[in-house]
Order: sequence, then structure tokens, then C-alpha cells
Amino acid sequence: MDPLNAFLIVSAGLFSVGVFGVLTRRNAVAILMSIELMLNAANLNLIAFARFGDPTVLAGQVFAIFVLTVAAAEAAVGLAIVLCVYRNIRHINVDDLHILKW
Amino acid sequence: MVDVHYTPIIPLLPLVSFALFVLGASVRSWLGKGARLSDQVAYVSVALMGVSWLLALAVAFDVLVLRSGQPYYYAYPWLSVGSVLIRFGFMVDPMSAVMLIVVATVAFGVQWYSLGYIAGDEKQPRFFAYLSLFSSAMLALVVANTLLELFFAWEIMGLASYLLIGFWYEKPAAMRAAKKAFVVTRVGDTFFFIGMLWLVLQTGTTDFANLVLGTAHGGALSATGENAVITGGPYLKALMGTTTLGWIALLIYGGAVGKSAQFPLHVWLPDAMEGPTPVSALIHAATMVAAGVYLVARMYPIFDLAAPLTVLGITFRPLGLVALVGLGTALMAAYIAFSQSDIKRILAYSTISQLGFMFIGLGCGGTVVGENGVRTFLAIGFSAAMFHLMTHAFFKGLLFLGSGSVIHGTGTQDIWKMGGLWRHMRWTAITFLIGYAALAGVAPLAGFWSKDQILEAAWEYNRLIFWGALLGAGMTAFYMTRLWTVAFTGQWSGGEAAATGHQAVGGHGQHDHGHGGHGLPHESPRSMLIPLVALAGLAAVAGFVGLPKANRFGEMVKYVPPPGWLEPAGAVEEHALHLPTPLRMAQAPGGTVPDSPAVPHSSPAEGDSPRPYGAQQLAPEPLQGGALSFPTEEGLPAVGGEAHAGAAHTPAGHHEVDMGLVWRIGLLSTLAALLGILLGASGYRGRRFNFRAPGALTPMESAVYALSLNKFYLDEIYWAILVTPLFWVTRTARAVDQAIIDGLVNGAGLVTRGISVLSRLVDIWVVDGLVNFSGWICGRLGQGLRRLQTGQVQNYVLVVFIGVLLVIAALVPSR
Repeated sequence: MDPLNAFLIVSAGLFSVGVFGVLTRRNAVAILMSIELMLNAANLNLIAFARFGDPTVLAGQVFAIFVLTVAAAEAAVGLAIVLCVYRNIRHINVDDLHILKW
Repeated sequence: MVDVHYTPIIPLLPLVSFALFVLGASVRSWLGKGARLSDQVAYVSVALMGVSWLLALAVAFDVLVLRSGQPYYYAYPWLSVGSVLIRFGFMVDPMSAVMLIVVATVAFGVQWYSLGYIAGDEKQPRFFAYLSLFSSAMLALVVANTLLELFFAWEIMGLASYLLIGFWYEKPAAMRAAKKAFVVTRVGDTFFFIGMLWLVLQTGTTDFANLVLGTAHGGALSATGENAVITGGPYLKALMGTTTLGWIALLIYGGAVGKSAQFPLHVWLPDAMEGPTPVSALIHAATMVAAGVYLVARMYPIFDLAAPLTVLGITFRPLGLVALVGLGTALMAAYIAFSQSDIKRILAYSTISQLGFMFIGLGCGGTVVGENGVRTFLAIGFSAAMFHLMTHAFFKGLLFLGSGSVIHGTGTQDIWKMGGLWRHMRWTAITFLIGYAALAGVAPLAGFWSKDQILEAAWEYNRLIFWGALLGAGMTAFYMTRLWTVAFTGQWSGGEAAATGHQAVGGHGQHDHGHGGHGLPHESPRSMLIPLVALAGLAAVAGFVGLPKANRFGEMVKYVPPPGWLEPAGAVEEHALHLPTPLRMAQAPGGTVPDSPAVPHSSPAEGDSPRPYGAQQLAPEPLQGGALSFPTEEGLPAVGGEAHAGAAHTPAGHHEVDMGLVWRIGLLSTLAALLGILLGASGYRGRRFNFRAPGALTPMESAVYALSLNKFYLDEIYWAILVTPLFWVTRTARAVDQAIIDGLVNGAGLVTRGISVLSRLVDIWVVDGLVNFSGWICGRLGQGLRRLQTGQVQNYVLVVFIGVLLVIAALVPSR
């Protein structure tokens, strides 16, 4: 079996776990964590393609580093929002956060 | 030194006093003090008129004597319509100067006279305001420089005449008379206006300098120093000898017929006597009614240079028609005057008759074409008419003022209720006698000279007209003698009280200045007598300016046909193509010296100066010699004989006054006057003629008398054939208006209203319905669709996720 495929399968599984978490979790923090999973699945893909593609080009690795950075920023912003929500309504259950509509 | 440059002020001063009256009344009324000014303001009006009079005399003296007849002309561009430029300004040529003297003198005299006459009337200030307005208009008329300006003044005079005839508008008769005067003269004015428009259309100008003064530079007369005479101006040259000019002349004559009370438009003038007597003297005897004569004289070249007209197979020259109508009017009015008993109406018919005489004079002048095609120029008619206008203004103004004094003193206007006034009103009687003698044509007085000149003109033109006019002169003497004998001699017959009890003088209560019933007649106040005496003096001596051997008047006020005109009729058309020669030649000497007479005024040599008299047979080559040079070397006044031996009015050699003819005519007219006077005096002494008594006349005679008494039934005829049908037409028109026009309008309104009701319904239900419906649909859709927005983040993510899966599913099979 092609080692790249193994990486891709793991990455797809990881991504699916993330999607599932985003769709099913009611806790906002858990949703944020699921998003991290999805980002890391993408990172795994990037590094795998970088490793098994042209090893002399480091674009994949560099891109992964960028994604990590963005993810960190995103997590900081997301957690700040969650904190604010919590301060206002004393919980972070996304089922009850539906006021952003007509 | 007051000179011609003061001309614009002359008509302005009375206008100022009119404006002062109107403004003063407005201000008083605004201050809540009532609009009635105090009686003293009349002195303002009289004083301003007096200044105006002095200025008029000075200007006339300047033009006639110092400038030797060289006209004053000042104008500035005023209206520019297309290619027609109308200048507003002033022109004083010798004829205007004479008119200035006449108008200003009579106007001033009448205003002075009115101080006494109208005193105590509650509308006294208004009277003076109207008089001033009239004087201003009349003075403006005689110094107008264009036909248009003349027309303005003409119409303002018509207005002032209307206001003054209807001055006592609480009297129904006065009201009706004012209306009648206004409407009847308006008929003539319409023709005048059409004629003026046609003239402008043909020539492009209304400027007298261009139309009737033979000068080189139509506009700038005073700068050229030319002695302009009345002749065909440069702008007429293309029209000379055409019938167009004749028709224009006839239309303009229509205006004169209305204003100067010629048949058939004379009917307004006798009724106009309902106005105050000074008004009758000023407007309806001396000045305004003579404005028609002045108009024809002013436009004389247009009348003279026209080709004969043919209507219904009758060919006549326009001036011939003028003469004929004048003769008819003169005889008819004199005949009517035989039987009238109202002193003012007798004088009114006399005025109509004398205006007829003036038109005879005008009509018997000008050019006639002989059967051999030779044009003959009759010089005397034109100046004779203007001469008669002047003398008539003086003696008729005097007679009217005298009659006013009589009415004032007796309280009646019926001559049969007067009598013996000679004893009671000495000054009035003496002045009246002078006026009467002047009108009747007694030898040394003014009327004799001017009437004889007209008779001479008629003799030259047409013997039939001459004999008719002579008959008219005799009739004039007769009716005036009748008036004099009945009213002034014999015994006082008791005035109004004798006949009707004292019933406020038959509607003329205004004359009754509060002194109970009139007992014996009394003399009028001095303010009324002074103008009487002054005018009597003028009526006595005014004729001496036009003596047959030394006709200073005729030398100043005259008409000369343009050179080339007097050739055989066929040759004129070619001539008309050139610029009339004197217009070019005239520039040569003295041309650019401003305001200086071209000809130094030589000392007048009485007696031997050639005179614009009589018929001059002209050789076919009049362009040679004297004819070329007349405006330049011929000083208009009596310059020494040799200096202008070949001058214009005698282009084919000298024409001495035919003294034999003058004597013969003088004798004939004196004879006619004497006959009339004797007949009148013998008939009415002791009031022997009394045609009103039943049985005094046979039926035949009675019919003849009734014709005169009822003024030829012209009023009745007009009423029957003009006024009644007009009323009928008006009523019919009214009925048509109400039934059909109003019906149509109202029907259209109703239909519109119905349609708009329908339209409103459609609007509400269909248009608004559609709009609201589409809005409602959108609303419902929005209501349904907004359910998709849950606000739940995970829902959205799920939809996105499913969407991605679908995209992938769509992509996979294509691989």
C-alpha cells in the first residue's frame, strides 16, 4: 500500500471526526476543539503531499506552520467569544444561541 | 431766450398738472381726508397752462419768424419692430407752430374762463384735471413727429372728450352723449389705425420727416438747417401715383371724418353739447374737432400724390371725395342749424358746417389731372383750410364761451326763452356780436378772409362746389342772424321760469349757481369776460395774417408737390424711381450748420412777393430751373421777390394773385352774407318767423321744416339700421352664447367629470390593486422563506456540509 494513502486515510478519518464533532457537539468549546481537529487533518495532508511529492520544495511544511499560526489566533478569538457569551447568558450551549436571525 | 428747444415742455406742463391732480387726490384719499381737492388747485392748472401758452407763443415765434419756417425736429429711437424704427420726439414746422398758437391760446382762455364758469361745482378739481389732460394731448398732437405719436395723442383726446362730455354723468343725457361720442369716433379711429398700419407696411415709417417733409436727411431736420415744406417725403417716392396710396389716404381720412364730425359720422357732435360749455368751446369747437383737418393736412402728400380711385365705376381723386363730403356736411349742418332752438346745438351744427368748409378747402387743393394728362397744381386750398381752421378756432371758441356766459346769466339754453340780452349782458353781447360777424363773413373780420380763400380754392377746382360753398356761407349768415336776433334783441322773455316754472333749468341745474330763480339775466363774472374779450380781439384781427395781397399765412403754411410730379401723368412712374430731387439738392448750402436757418431772413417785401395762389399750368419739363432748388433758396416767408423768382410754387413762372377774382369772390360772399343777414334779421325781428306754431306752414313746408328740425332723421335712421340690428345681433349672440356655447362648455365639463369618476375607480381598484397585490405577494413569500434562517450555527454548517457532499457527489461520476 502506498504510504501516502495511509496518511490520507488517517487525515480523512481525523477530518470526519472533526466534522462530526462540529455538527453534533452542543458545547461551544467542544466545537472549537473539533475545528482544531479539522485543521490538523488538513495540516497532515499538506505535510504528506510535501513529503511524498517533491521533497526539495518545502511549501507544504511552511503552509502547515501558517495554518498552525492561524489556528492559534482563531482559537484565541473563538475562546474570547465563548467567554463573552458565557458572561452574558451563563452557559455556552449553542442550541440556545439562535438570536442571530430575522 | 426761450426757443424751439422748449417744445417738449409745452405738452408736458398740462400733463404735470393732470398728474398733480390725480396724485393729490390719491394722497388725500389715502390720508383719509376724502379725495376732493380744494377749489384753489384750479389756479395751479391755469397757471401751468399759462406758462405752457407763453412757451407755445415763444416756440411759434421762433419757428415762424426767427427760423423763417425752418422746422424744429428732435427725436430719439424708441421702438424697433423688425426693420421699422419708430422715433419718439417732437416736430414743429410752420403748420405745427400755427396750431400751437391756436390750441394753447384757446386752451388757456378756456381754462381761465372755467375758473368762473365751473366755480362752485362739486367736481371742479376733476374738471380742471380733465381739461389739463385734454390740453396736453392736443398740444402733443400738434408737435408729434410721427403718425403713431399723433395717434396716441388722438386717442387720449378721445378719452378726455369722453370724460368731459360725460362730466355731469348723473344726467342720463350726458352719459349717453359721452358714450355716443366715444363709440362713433371709434369707428373712424379704426379706419385711421388700419390706414396707419398699411402705410407702415408700405413705407416702413410713420415719421413725418420721412413722409411729408422734403428734406435730405429725413430724421435730422434741425441739424441740416433746411427749410422743409410739406411735400412728398423720400419714403413716399415708391408709392407716388399708385392707388394704394389713395386707399391709405381714404382710411386715414376715415379717422378725420370721425373726429371732425363729417357726414356720416357727425352725429356725435351735437349730442356732445351735453358737456360743460367751456368743454364745448375748447374741444368740440376750436381744437379737437379740428384735429381731423390737421390730420388730413399733415398727411396731405399722401392724399395728393395718390392715383385716382375707382369704386363702382366712379373714378375720383381722394381729395375730391374730401371736398364733396365737406360740402355735403357743410350744407346739411347749416340747414339743420336753421331750426334748432338750443343755443349750443346751433353752434355745434355751425361747427360741423365750418369743419365741412375746411375740408372743402383741403379737397380743392392739390393736384388735378386734366384730360390731356397734364397735372395742374391748385395751391391755395391747403393753406386756406388751415387758415380757416385758425380763424374758426378763435371765433367759434369765442361764440361758445359767449354762449356759456349767456347760459350762466340766464339759466337757460333755449334761445326762445332768452331775448333782449343786449341790454342785460353788454360785454357778452358785444363779444358775441364780433364772433357772430366773423362767422357770418362780415368784411374785415377773421372769418371773411379765410372763407373767401376757401371759396377761391373751390372756384379754381370746381364751380359747382364753389356755388355750393357760397350757398353755405349765406346759410351760415342766416342761422347766426337768427340766433343773434332771437336771443340778443327784443325783450327778455323770462328764461326758464316763464315756460316751465323753475324746474332747475331743464336738467341743466349745474348752470344755476344757487341764485334762486333767474330773474333778469345778469352779466358774468370778470374771469369769464376777460377771455371773451381776448378771443374777440383775435377773432377780429386774426384774418389779417392772410390778406390776399400779403398772405403771410399762406407763405408759411403750404403744400408743394414734389418736383417731377407735375409732369404729364404717364411720365411720373419713371420719376418716382429717382429720389425726389429737392431732397438731394437741398443739402448743398448751409447743410451742416446746426440750428441755423439756411436762408438769412431777408426783410419781408410786402405786396410783390409771388404767392402760392391759383392754378398753375405747368410745362412738361418742370425739373429744369427753379423746381430743383426750392427748399434751399426759397426762404419760406416772404423773402424778397427776386430772390426766388422761379421758386417752387411757381415752377413755370410767376403767377400773380388774380385780384379780379379775389374782388369778385369777396363781393359775392359779402352779398351772400348780407342776404342771409337781412333775411334772418327781417324774419326774426319781433320773432315773426314762428314755424312751430300750428297752422303756420303748409304740409309741404312743414315737411321741409321737419327735415331740418329732426336733423334729417339721421339719428333715427342710424338707430333703425345700425343700432337696432346691432342690439338684435347682440341679443341673438347672447342667446346663442347661453344655449350653445355655454351648453358646450358645460357639457364638456360634465363629461370630464364623469370620466374622472371612472378613472378614479379604475385607479383605486386596478392600479392601486396591482401595486398592493405585488407587495402582498412579496410579503407572504418573505414570511415563508424566513423560516430557513434558524440562527443556529450548526444548521448552517450542516447545510454547507451537505452542499459540499453534493458537489463531490456530482463530481465523482464525471471522473
